[in-house]
Amino acid sequence: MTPRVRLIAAGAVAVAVVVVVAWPSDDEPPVAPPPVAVAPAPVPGAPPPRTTPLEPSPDEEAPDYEEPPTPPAPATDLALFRLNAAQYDRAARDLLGILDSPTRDFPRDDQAYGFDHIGEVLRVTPLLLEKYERAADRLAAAAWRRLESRTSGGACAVKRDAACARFLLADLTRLAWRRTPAAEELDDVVGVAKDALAAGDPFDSAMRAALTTVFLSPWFLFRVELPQKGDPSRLGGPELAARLATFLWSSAPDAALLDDAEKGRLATPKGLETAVRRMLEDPRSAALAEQFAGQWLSTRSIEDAFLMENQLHGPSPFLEEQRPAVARVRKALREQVERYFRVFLDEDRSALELVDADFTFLDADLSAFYAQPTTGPGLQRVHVAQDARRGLLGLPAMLLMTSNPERTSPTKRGRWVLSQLLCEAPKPPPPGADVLPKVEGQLSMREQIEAHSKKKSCAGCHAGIDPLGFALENFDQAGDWRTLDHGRPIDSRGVLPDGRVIDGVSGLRAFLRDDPRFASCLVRQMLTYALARGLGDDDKRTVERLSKSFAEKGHRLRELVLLVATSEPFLRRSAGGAR
Amino acid sequence: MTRRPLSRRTLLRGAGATLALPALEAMLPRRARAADGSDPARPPLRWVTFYVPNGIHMPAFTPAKTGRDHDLPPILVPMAPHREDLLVISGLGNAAALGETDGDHNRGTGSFLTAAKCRKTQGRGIRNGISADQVAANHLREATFLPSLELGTARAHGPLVCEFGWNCVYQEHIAWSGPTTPLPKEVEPRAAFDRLFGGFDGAQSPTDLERRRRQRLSVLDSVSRQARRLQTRLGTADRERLDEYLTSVRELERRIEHVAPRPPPGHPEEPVADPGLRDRVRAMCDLTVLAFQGDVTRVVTLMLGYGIIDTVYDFLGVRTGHHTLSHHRGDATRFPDLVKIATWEVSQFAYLVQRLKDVREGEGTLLDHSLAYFSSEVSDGNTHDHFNLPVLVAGRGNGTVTPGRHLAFPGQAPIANLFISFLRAFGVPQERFGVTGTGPLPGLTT
Repeated sequence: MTPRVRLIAAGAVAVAVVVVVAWPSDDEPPVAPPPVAVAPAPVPGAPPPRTTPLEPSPDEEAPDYEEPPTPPAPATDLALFRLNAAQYDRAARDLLGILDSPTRDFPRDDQAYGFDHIGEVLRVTPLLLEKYERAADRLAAAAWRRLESRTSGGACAVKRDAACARFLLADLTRLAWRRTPAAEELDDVVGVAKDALAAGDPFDSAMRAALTTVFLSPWFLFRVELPQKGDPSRLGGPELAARLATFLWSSAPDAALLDDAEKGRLATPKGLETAVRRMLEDPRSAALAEQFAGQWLSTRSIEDAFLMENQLHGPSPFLEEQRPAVARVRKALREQVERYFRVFLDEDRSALELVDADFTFLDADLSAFYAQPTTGPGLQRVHVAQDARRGLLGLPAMLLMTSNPERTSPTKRGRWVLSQLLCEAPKPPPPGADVLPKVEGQLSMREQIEAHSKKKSCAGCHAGIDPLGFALENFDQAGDWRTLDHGRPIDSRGVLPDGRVIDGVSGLRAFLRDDPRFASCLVRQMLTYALARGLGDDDKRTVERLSKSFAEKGHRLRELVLLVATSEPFLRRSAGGAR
Repeated sequence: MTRRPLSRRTLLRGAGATLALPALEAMLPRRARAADGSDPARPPLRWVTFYVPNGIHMPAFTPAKTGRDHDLPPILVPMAPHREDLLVISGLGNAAALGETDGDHNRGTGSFLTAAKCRKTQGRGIRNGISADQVAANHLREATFLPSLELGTARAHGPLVCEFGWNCVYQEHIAWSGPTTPLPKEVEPRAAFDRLFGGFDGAQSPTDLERRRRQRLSVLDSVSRQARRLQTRLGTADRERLDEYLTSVRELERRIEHVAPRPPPGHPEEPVADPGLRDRVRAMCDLTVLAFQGDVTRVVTLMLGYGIIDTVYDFLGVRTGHHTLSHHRGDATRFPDLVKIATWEVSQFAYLVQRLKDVREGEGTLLDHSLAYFSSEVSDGNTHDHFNLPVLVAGRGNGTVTPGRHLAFPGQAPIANLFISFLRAFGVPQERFGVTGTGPLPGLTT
């Protein structure tokens, strides 16, 4: 245990609950075969069941619940993308200067394909609309504070009436809706103010009501992509601007971008590239690190996952008074990943270096993980002293998020490497897959997993997963370096099914650097994120083409962003996609 | 600008002036009760569902004896004070949750109240059925301020918890207002309290309140007009999504017209912010009782965590995560910890039951007019058994349940039939439910 951990664990009696996420089916599938369907027996006095799951008579319709293959979901059009919490917050920040999150009390956005802004799964429920109404009031109040200074100019110079309201509302509605509203659409918004004035409400109150309308409108809450005249599959200028702002900033377009879009400047490759490069230079592009990299590397939610409390304080019980310290460490761990990723954007480095770069960001808390001093307050860029800590495989946030509370999970980590870095989806465990065998004496985690994976039915998949996780066994469940597990020396060497040897974390790094799947997986992940939908068969060719161009550009990360932002599917409306 | 036609809203506005009465009237929603066809002299029926994750160690849960003089196994001991208000039901199964090898927690939790098939998907085409609580909520829609209340104790933690090929949405939601619409839950007690009683502001003048009401309705009028116009330009799936927006707008309109509920007199302050798990569960139980007591809603679902959650119960001295532990591999040394966790879960349910019992209402207690339903998405967590589910029903459900017994169905009966019985207790003429429900469960009353 490092001094940091001891520091946090110091103290007396504790009462706390630690909730940890388990990666299901990692190495703990059920011991016995799943139960055979039991027919609901006729209940005395009740009518006989409509269907019997065991013996459907041949001429009867098969019972609905006797699963065979679930029919594939139909391909659908996709023109509505509800803002997720991150996008709502940033739109409020960038349009109105609201800094503390208006979405704090919102229900968590549902996720799909690894991200939480996927149009297909984001819905509006009565609870959410209720929260939207309250948040819209907040946004309206902030907007009114900004507009008040203009109430002596333009149409307001004469009188504070509907014309004045219209004058004040036009620009803001355009920015909030990410397009210039049609005259009758603006009439609708102004109408709310007009009605309020007619009822005798003061002007500011009437204006706030109209502004609430702007922010509760479907045109604010959804990014809308409607078919254009001419080529209905092509995105219109403002729609493309909104896509760009979502992709690069997780926010709304600013006035400059919207101007570009409405003047047709995004319609030429040159104009589009200029816009993308300008957006990447803008500090708002930090959202790519926070939202894209944070979700890709599974570290964004480390502040919500309660695992830290357990994993950071070691075997002693968690103390309530440790909560602030743990919260501080969690935040630093998340930001470390973001700062690391941002360097590759800011300095236009090769994305392959993400795997093994020799720099990182440490503060006083994180320096304990890396067993090296830090140079100043806050997160400081430092040279990584220990070879094993280089690159993203040494990031404690990832190592924590892929562990169980009380032990490491090589299978979970191996699966993480496969799914997040190589875009390979392992098959689910077979029926009756065994769980870790009962522990007889002290076995290291590796020995336990190996015993389990010897079972024939499991061996095939585990052989491709576990060696990747074994390579990280020198990092314990808290992300700390270790050389012993249950008193036995760590063996971090593994052999892949094709005979390749992966020796420890440095071996895994070399493996990833050499594997072309790493770069194309990054392309895939970024394209999914940019399109806010699952990828389908039609997108395979795009991924291949982008991967090729990405390599030609030396795998520079900014070039990848540009390639994705100028790719065919990014310029087209969404239809189809993943099944 | 052309003059807009007189809207439904405007008509409602005229009638609205009388609604700005102080909230005491809301505590006695006579009008509403008459509207749902129930007897105004009789307190309304309520239903709270208490979900616990990852199954229960059944050998320590199911009484050996049936009938009135059944035993109380260790996990049920916390219910001892409520024995006469408790109906233990064994032998219920949820065949809708059966499926492939993986995803049992998804299917089990997703179909927990729907008894429907959950479509396996990572994102596109999420599909389940309507949940029974929502059928009840629809039936009561006009009666209360909120048709239903969805509460929980944990937020989802991200994609790492999703099972192979499954979207997490199933394992995290038991209330579904339709096949494609899971209802998110409130996990912050303070936000939930606000939701129940935040609309009541004793400090505002009637004029201010009326202006606020009028403006809110005007805003909603405008945005639903915008949505309807947008809808004509959309394809089917997007139209559905926007329909949900419009439905939510209508629901909010209805609520604005309803008198804002006020907290019952003598109620302590708002819940604390961001409490630990134990305080959180209690706060959610308290809120459930408050919501019932003030007739803010009659349908509540409360999820303790969600399917597959790996809660570490430090305060019980259990150091292994709950889901991990639930895969006990037949190792008897793991059973005591599982019993500890389940006993604690049942003790939380016992707390809820006690609180319902503490409230006098009409000739009896709130509990007499409630159905408090306790269960999990599987029985044995190790094998993901979807039969022999752990089922407790507390309360008398306005006479639709005779508690104080252990009712057993040795040949397995569909859990969906219990839901049909509950729905009929609400006056819903439910014939079938989900994919397995065939009719009411017999034997609930003697």
